Amino acid sequence: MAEQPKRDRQTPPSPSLNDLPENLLLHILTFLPLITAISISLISKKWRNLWHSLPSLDFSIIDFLLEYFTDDSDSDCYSPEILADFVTHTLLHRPNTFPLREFRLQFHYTQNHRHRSLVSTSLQYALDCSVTDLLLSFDVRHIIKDIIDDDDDDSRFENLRVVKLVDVDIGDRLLSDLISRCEYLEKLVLSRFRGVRQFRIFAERLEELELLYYFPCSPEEYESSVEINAPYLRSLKIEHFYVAKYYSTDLSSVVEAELNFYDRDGFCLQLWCSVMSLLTGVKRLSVQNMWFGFINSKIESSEHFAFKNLSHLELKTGYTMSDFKGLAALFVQSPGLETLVLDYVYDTDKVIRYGHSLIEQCLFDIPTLRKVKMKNFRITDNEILVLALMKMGKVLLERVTLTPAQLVETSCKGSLVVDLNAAKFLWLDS
Amino acid sequence: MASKGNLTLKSCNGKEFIVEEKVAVMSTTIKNMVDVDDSFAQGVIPIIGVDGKILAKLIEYCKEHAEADEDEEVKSEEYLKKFDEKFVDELNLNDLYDLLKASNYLEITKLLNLLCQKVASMIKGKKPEEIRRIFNIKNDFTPEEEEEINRQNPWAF
Repeated sequence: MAEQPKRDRQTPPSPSLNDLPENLLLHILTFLPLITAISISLISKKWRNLWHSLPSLDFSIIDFLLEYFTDDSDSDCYSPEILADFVTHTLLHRPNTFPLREFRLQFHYTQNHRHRSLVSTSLQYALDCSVTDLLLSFDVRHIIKDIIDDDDDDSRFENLRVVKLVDVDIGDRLLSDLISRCEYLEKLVLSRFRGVRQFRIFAERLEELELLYYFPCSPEEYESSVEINAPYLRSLKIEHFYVAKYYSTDLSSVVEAELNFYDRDGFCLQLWCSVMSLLTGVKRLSVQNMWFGFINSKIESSEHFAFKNLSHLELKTGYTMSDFKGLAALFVQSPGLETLVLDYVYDTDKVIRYGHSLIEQCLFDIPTLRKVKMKNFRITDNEILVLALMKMGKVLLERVTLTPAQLVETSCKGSLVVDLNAAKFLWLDS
Repeated sequence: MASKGNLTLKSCNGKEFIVEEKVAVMSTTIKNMVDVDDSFAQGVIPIIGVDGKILAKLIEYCKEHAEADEDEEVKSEEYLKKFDEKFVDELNLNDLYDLLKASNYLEITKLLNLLCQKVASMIKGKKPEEIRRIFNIKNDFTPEEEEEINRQNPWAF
């Protein structure tokens, strides 16, 4: 902060941060790593116990390493013991009668007995404080098993609204059991999951579900499946979670979905189709362009399938002939599409020859479409062709936005020559 | 008197600002006033405890963000990020405190978070004496109390 002596003289006496109301100081604390928020209690009486009122306890190993070892020379002497001590100390000094909304513990858990009891104690503490948001990141097999087994009292999990588990290795059956005990669960995030066979997510009130990073590693796991039964599910995100199949009796409540499977060779087409064919009510969708495979697959009714409510589609795509045919097919299946974002995610495409057969095969006939955005735009002939085909079909574009790829940014600014009468071209400053 | 779609905001030292309604309602407090009582939308809205200089700053911030909310393509995320950085970097401590109080009272959540983030970044990685000096905070602990805290909490250095 620059010194401004003149102004200071105008408004004596110079104000102090301590003059701000306590709720503001507390709000500032929420932007600091927990260890800093606690160590700042040494500054003055006003800050002494302020951290007790923090709505969230976030023990993150990364923050801890960054904040605790400010000198590079110290960083060699890190051991899990230091973080363990910090957690123990903090829980000991924080009055557990203060309300706590969120509890996060990211820890390199080992089979060490002390760590096990530490994690178990802090989880009990969090449940005792009736946290609603819980994030645990480590191998928690034994702890959760202990708590579920020991506990006759189902209501312990009742307060949980948001649960995030990272590096969970407790097996699908135990996890299914845990989920069904969290009666009021609204959001569930599972990341770097292991040991899926037949994983069932039955959650009466679940609204948001994220399944991230599952890679099968044994032959049985190649046959694995996820069954979702959540009548109020609104948002679904599946990212690199490669089970063989997704089931559900009904996922038509989902309005927002984001699917991310890396695949240009069609090896997870079955998986893609099994999820997509469930998303009958989706309005906003982000997905890889595998429509060409979808319509040619043997999946029943895939050709007559319709995304009736789809209005915003973000498509990770290439610009090959099969991508073009896929686009034409998805336009037929999405009669209400208004906004289309095309994000180019591959290396290069072969140039497609423009001609009558192309126009016949790739008729982009979608009168509702208003906005098109093309990300990572490299001014290739194929990209221009997409726009030209839209112009030729019944597309009444209001606006086309092209975000140039980083590589060609300087060369393409302001030099685009595509005539799409109705369309307005905008170059973004980036 | 403001024309339709505009509101007049009056600072505590009598300065009046005519702003578009979409800009003014970035403040939840003003939004609630206008929603509940139509007469506010016609007349002058007094902004208690906020002087003209601070109010002008608030309006500058809200204007950029209201326009960005309306049209993300003209004012991109990146543009806003740069604007925010410049906005907080140019503040002196007095203005920072005043803006914190004002955005808290007027419930301009985005700005409040931005300013708190700024203070947090000024605190991070500093020793207690340094923090006290920067923010003009008096150490009101007795040496005994200070020792007690150190003993209780080995992280409070």
